[in-house]
Amino acid sequence: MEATHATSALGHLRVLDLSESIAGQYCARMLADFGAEVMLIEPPGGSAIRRMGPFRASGESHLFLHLNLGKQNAMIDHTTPDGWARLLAMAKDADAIIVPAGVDRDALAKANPQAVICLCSDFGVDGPRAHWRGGEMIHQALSGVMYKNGHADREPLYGCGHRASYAAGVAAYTSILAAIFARARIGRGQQVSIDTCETASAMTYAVPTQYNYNGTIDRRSTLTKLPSAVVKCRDAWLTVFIYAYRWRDTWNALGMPGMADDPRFTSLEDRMARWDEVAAILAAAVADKAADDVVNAMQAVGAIASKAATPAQVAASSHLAARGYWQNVTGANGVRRILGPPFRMSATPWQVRGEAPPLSDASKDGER
Amino acid sequence: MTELEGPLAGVRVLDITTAWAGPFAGRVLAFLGADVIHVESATRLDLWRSGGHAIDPTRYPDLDPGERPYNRTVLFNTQNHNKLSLTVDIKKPGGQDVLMRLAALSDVVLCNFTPGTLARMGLGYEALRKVKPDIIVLEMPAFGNSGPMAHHGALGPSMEFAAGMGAFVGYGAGEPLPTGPAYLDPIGGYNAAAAILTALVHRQATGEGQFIEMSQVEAAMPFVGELLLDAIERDTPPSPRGNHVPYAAPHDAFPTDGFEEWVAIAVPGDAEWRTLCAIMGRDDLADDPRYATAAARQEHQDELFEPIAAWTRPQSKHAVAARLQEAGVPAAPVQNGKDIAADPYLIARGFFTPLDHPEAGLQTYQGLPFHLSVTPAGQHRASPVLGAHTHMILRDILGMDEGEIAALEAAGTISNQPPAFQRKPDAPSQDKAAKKETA
Repeated sequence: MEATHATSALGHLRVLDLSESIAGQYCARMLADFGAEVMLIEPPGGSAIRRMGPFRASGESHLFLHLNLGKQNAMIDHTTPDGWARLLAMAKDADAIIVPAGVDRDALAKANPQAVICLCSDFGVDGPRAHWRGGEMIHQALSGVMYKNGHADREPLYGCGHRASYAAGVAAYTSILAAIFARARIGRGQQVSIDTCETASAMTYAVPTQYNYNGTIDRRSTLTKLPSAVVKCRDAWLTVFIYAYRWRDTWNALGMPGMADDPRFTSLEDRMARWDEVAAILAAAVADKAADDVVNAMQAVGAIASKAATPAQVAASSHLAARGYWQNVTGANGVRRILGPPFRMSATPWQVRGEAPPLSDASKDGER
Repeated sequence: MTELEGPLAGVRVLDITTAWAGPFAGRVLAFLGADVIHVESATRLDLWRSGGHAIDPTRYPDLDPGERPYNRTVLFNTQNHNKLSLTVDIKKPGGQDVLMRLAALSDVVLCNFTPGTLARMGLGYEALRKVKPDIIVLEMPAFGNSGPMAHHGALGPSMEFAAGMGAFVGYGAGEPLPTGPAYLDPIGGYNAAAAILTALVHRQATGEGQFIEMSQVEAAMPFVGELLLDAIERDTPPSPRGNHVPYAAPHDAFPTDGFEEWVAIAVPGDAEWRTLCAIMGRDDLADDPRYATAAARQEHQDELFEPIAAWTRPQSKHAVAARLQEAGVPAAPVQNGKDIAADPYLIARGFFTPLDHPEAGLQTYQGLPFHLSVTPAGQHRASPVLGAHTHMILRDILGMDEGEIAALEAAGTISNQPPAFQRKPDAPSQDKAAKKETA
């Protein structure tokens, strides 16, 4: 995708990304998407993220490509005196520098007091878990999310992918822009830091505060405190919610008006106490139907239902197509599908400047 | 303004939001020092005040909802720190005028209702920019403002399924699973705050405001971007198997001593495997060719569950995790609310803040992950009781005199007294509004 940046929000910013983490690289990817000029600093041999899956048939890492669209790259070993000197020189005209634990942030700040130095790490550099190893399951276990995820009679589930790290990336992006915003007032940059573990811990329900309020702990089964169910239609799974104020309308919409007046479920208390029976009746009622028909019938009466879209269904979604969601990018290995913008800005739209940089480009050594 | 104020000091935000995702976004801005006014009306409470479909005692201090449960609920009270509370009913005399006048004095308007709600309130972007040319307006409907699903109602789990995430979570029987109660909500909250910061930085550089449309589903899709793109390119549906992952084996939750106690253990490579075996006193497993390589352990992972569980079962989850981490093997206790409230790492990080609340008392609250060295972020004021700042806002920000305020009071426009709190099954009142809201 060729793009001009006359109308980008962050076109006035230069960023160095030596984070070597999913969080840091996603943060820098967002900065690039909204116009910043981002240099990915790769260690000798290339970023470790290049060796993380899933991998394309070409052998390239989907993860690396997804995280590094629109960036340039340079190969610098900043653990050597020469490499560090080069990094300090590059830091002099950077507005933001995203670093992992172990990099001398004070020296970078001294080299360029106007720069925002952003540390992205799992557990920080000085707390009681600074030496712990992270990872998605580790963060979700500590955060409280995993404890509540899954069936009550099975082991808890961590979820999927690296969502805690992506959230930390968005939080790092927000931190950097907040510090850039404050620079106009205080006249200089500052240091910001984002821990993936703390970011994930802020994404639970009111889990620790509920314990402080009254000493209670919600178990995994408590998802059934809500009038919700996951049911299988002919062609897809659905999640549905039947709140009290849509009870009658929902059963009418599903062609089962008798359920609305069924004495077993008339009072809200009885209904929730016997929710397993309600869910089983619903599951039987929709088993032979097309998922889209059930979703549309329920949505038409204001009840909440959504298909559990498979990736193929997400790719083929007429809704996303109507919104022009999917994009393409052209790289050395041809044209590739990429995801669309996380949000749409009327004056400064999201733009992808090009495919993630190949490792061979890094040998240009940071020449812009 | 001094350096000691947050980075967004002096930025005023009108936060017309409900439930979790929208209030979370406003809370991020308030945590960063913005002046955030949370707008509700007595007849249309924030859903996280009203508690959904029934009173649940576990949401209240000492399990007691009290006379005004909407001021005591842990849900609302964890998402609205630092904010001011304004009650104004837009359908009553003078209500729309109050919001329009406030918007003219604001930098940001944030809204998480279904498409077109702001416009129906007379507060659409085009109307607002007439009174405040550089205003930043963000709407965050579940599916966006356009497209055939734009008007579909949604909650966290249904958005998570629509984003394709549910397909990657499950026990192997094909049934997709959502993540906890509503994982898409904090994802939407973080993204919406990021979008507003983007617009604020642009406005600072150019003087130009703008309208931002954020579909919460689209904002979440990049969080599983590599998984989606991989499955689409290979045209193969995901087949999740519990906690198993391709990049580590074993990788699972193992039972530990006590009811519903688990430890998560991840073995990324051969070195960690040998370390784990040595700590377990099972060198026989380390020497067994069925488990010697990553590929072999992937293939035989199910066989390894019981030997590891036999070792973890009599121990505490905290002790197992600490011992493995000391030796370089990734592990963690699967923490519940009690564990997290006492988590030494989070305490050292300053994640928790004790705050006094007029109706919930002195309580310790969970925080947000932002740390800035010069312009500090933080939460210093408890979430507001309903309408706590209405008079102050009308008087000090809008400059209304006592007569004008009394007239709004008499018309019921700024009431902070909700009608009967608890819904009856199938009672239609308020429900048109409720269905319009995305969580």
